Amino acid sequence: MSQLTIDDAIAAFVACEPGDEAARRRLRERCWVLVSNKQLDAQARTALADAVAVLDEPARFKGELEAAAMEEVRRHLEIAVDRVECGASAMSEPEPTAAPAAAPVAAAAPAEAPATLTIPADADRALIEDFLAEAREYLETAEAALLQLESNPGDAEAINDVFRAFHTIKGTSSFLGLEAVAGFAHHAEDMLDRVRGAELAFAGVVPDLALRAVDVLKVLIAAVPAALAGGAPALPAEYAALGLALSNPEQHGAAAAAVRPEVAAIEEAPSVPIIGRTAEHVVPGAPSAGAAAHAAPTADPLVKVRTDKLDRLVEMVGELVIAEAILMQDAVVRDAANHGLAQKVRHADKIVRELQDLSLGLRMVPLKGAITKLQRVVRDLAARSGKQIAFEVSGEETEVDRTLVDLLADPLLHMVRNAVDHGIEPPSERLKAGKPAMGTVRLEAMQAGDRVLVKLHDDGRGLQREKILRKAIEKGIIQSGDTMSDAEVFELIWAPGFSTAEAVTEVSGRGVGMDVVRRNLTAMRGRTVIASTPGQGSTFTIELPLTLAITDGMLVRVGAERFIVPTARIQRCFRPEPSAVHTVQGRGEMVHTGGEVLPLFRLHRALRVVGAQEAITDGILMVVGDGDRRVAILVDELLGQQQVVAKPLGEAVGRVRGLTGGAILGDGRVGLILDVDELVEAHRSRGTGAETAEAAA
Amino acid sequence: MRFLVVDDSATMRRIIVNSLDRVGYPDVVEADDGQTALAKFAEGGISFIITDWNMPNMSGLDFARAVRARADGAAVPILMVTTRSAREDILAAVDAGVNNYVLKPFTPPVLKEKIDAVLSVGAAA
Repeated sequence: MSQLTIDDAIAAFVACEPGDEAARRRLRERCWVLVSNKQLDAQARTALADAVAVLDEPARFKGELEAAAMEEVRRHLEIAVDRVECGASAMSEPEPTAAPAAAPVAAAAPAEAPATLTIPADADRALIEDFLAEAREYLETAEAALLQLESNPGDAEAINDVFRAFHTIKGTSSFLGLEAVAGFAHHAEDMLDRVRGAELAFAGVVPDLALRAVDVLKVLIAAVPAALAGGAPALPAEYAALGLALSNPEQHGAAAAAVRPEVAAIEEAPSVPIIGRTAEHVVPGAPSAGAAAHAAPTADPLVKVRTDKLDRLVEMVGELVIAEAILMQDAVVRDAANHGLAQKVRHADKIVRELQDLSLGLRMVPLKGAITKLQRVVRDLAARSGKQIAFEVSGEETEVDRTLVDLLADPLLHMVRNAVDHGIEPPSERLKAGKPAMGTVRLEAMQAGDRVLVKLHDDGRGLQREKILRKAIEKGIIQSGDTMSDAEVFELIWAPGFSTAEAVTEVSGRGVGMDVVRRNLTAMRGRTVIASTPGQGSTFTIELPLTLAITDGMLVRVGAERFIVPTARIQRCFRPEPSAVHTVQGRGEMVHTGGEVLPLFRLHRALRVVGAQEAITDGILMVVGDGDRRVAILVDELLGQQQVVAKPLGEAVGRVRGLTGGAILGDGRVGLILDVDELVEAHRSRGTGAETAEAAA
Repeated sequence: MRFLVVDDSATMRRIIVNSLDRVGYPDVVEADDGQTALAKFAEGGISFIITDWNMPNMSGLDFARAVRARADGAAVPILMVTTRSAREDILAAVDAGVNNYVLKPFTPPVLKEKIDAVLSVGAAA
């Protein structure tokens, strides 16, 4: 048996001249083979493993450090030789406590810290872009795991998730020459490794340090595109201090915790240049396919696609649907005497519908991404205000159009902030009110038909009517609230000027007020509903369409104009009896239908269309809206249902109250899409004054 | 010679595959976790495994043990890719049946050196 012996290792050691890396690698390989030899004395193998560990640390052999490192290798080899030579005689001796394990870290730490993020000239750009997308995913996972650890600090799998994120980012970024990223991730990894090894408790400053490490890595990752573009972005201010704290949380941790950064760091995304942005989630399958409960890597191969390409695809499919609709409505095709042609067209139609469903599904992503961020917001806000809050989430796998996920971020942030700051009471107040000290904020997402509902419920004190009214009067939004219903009062919080941008900036990092948030939602055909019970809490509901790309619309005629009303907003249509319409003093025209009384809304008057039906019995009434906000809208004629691709009206026209956009109709002309809620709102806010004038006239 | 590369990070897999290609091993099968890798190994034809250490669901060590537990997996060389080499890690890797490991970041020549080292030890034994 020509097996390698310890003498071979010694020979290799002796052959190591200073700076001879190849010789050192040979020594390392020989030691390794000996470690692998299970016939060798266990303690000798341990000592040889120590030698391998030192030899595997290239940083320890740089320049003057080499001599000390080689000396340490020599000591380990000596122990191994001793063990092998005295054989079994000293079997149960305590393990040699050679050089303390902390030495390598200490040696690596003071390495000159970089000041900027740079990328080597020969970097593989495509690979780096892949890495960025991947790193973001790992960090999201790590953040979610960290938040889970808050409630269950012993969750080993969660600790592993966090460790793995740091570990993988460190490993991959070191390949790509992203030294600043690799170096920082290394510190974070070291701390998590100690947590994993039960050497450091996941308590005290540790969770906080880990979360901040995730933040710093996010900022670093976000800065890479700028470095790729040739810049040298500065490292985050926290970089050096946090790195130090991570490598020694016991000493530096407490001091670092004293300078807690503001929560503003959460929303890092807007500052990222959009160059080369890749899809963050790519979900295969139809929108209805519920994603797997756990985000484990699937066996199905995935392809990452740039979002702009995806958007373009969906847009083109939208156009195809319209073009096909135009074709289908062409008189030649519609009244085809040619049976063969009709059959072929039907077949093409079927394929187009399927393609449409498929392409929309491509852009559907789970809400999870938007929700994970909120957990962090709740945590930080609660900690700052001294409140105890449990944040419960359900339905985060609900899928919506990607563009809507981005859109939801701001409103959700406002709602959550509102719930934590104004909804949930401090523990003492809660106990006094007979509630548990810990408040609950519950976020529920669900799909209802072609709409998505996101509800945020808190079990706090509820919206305070008087307080809102006082503020609204103070800000000059209303004169008096005596005649307002609760729902109307709650609506005031969305009014321009009610919430100041400054108050909001703190959380969102952007000066966006509630009114802007509301307007953005409305532009995307979303709605908000507020329900609140004093002492028991509030529920904010956001309702959004599943997708923005295509709207099912009812084409209606008013005079010579044609409009599209989103089908989802229409409850029913009917032709009223002349006796059904009354003018009620102070409330304008009302119409009786099916045992209820609804306000009558003449569309042609609101939109100033001439030549439309005045006689209500010659037109059609559409019941739109919901709850106590329903109205009956008078139009001349229903022309039929049609799917349309909604397009903004364009810069020149700007935003028009009551219209969400335009669409190309079957005959190639443009139809305007009505914003039912806004019309109803306008009708109501014209209020009693206008209507009494009308009634008097 | 067909390689099986196991890593949950797609970027890492690409780096390893590129490196292998550059040192003359273009025949590579990839897997993103241990279970998938086991299935691919069971299909046969794999003569060298390169696996990541820290992976979700099944660690590289567990994967190595699972390979060694198979009748056809006792002899296949396993090279572990890792960023850590403390004494405990080294011993754990040996116990799991790993033939050698390579530290990140490595250059293609270093990877080749490791592969050669593993193959020569195997040939000597």
